Amino acid sequence: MSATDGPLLEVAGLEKTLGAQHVLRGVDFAVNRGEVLAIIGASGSGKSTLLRCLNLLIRPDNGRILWQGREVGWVQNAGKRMPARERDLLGYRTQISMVFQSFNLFPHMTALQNVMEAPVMVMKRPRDEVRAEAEALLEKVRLSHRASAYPHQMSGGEQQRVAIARALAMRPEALLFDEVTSALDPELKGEVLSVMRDLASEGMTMVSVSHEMGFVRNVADRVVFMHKGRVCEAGDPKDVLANPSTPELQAFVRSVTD
Amino acid sequence: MDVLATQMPRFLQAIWLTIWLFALIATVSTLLGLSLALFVNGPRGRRALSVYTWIFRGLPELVVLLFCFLALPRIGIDLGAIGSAFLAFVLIGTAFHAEIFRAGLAAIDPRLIETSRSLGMGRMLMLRRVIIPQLARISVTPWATFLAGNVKMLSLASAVSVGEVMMVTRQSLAISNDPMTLILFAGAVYAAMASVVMVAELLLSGLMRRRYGPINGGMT
Repeated sequence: MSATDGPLLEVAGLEKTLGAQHVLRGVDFAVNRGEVLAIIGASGSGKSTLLRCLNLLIRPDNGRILWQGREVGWVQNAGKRMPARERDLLGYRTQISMVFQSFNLFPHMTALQNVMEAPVMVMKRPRDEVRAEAEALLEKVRLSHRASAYPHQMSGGEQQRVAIARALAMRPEALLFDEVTSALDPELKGEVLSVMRDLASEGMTMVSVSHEMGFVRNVADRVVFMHKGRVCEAGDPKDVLANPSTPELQAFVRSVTD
Repeated sequence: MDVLATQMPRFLQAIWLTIWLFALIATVSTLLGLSLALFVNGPRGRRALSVYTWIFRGLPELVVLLFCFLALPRIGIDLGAIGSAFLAFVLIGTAFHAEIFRAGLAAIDPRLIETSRSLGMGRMLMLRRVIIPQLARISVTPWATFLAGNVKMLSLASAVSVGEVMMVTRQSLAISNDPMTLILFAGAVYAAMASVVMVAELLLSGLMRRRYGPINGGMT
């Protein structure tokens, strides 16, 4: 898997209708390798749907997703463009793994088992090797002492850090974060954000839907502001947030800085 | 008391028959019900399954039993007493189990499914590693409740001359003037067997609650 010159991930003209709702109305952006991209916007602006389109948990109706320059999610079949089968997307998903707002750890597995699950069961890597790596990942998120705890015995912040370790265990090329601190009490957000800052400084490619303006301003390399299913404004977060040019972003910035 | 003592070897035989017949029916109907709940998809299949479970949950057990024992031989399917009882209770049990597991599947947090997909799990792997463990957690109580009730339902099989506990009881009643002892004994046997199922469920669900926490892990 050689790195290409272009962006790691690129989307163009992404459209999605869910029920009667036209959630994405043509979204374009690109993520370079090692870049931290923050997606902001009011609720209902299509951020979470967009994130789920990136690893094809949700199939876009239209548009293109290019991963390392190659299109994913669609195949050419007898000259016709067809949606790829679910089982042909599984390998792609292991390269771009996701951390969720509500942690979503498997309740019947310990922290360590949660982290080991995908590498052992999905990627069929040897259990001993995976165990050593999983223990190292738990150490990285500062949870070695919780390896044998079940999710219900852990705080939200601990669960979310296990979820980050689980996502990293697949050795992904990029990570997707879906409002990962929104469900946490204020005093627990910090421990998760600091793990994310560490990852960013190590050069991990990250796409993060976030309401944490501090994180967006200080950690993100670029910010994309979504409004009504479109990218309304994008650029360096320090510039864009300080001098929003559209009335929509001006209103949004006012509403989140209290 | 005399008749109970003299009939004890036949009672023990009948208890043994009841136990293995129950175990066999419970196993087969659980596996069939689970398979139907898991693998019957699509609107047409779902509708057919609903019709089946509606019929067999609605019919009296005795009607199904007599149908299998008396009516099926008329169209060339003679399964004998035990075979008919097995078929009847499997038909009924499968219908109940399919509904129990269908409801359990609907109660699994969809976010766990989404997470499994995001980890690259295919359908069968997800089934084995996430869905079945969650379903076991959610459905153990309704499943065991039905089975505990099903134990005593087996007494109906005496109506088609299966030599289980009620059958021996009725035969003993015919040669005895002590119905009190015999009926209380039969009752105790069924209650004991049902209690084994109920206690097992209590222990199992208690163990899972202590180890895994609330159902769906108390996700917010």
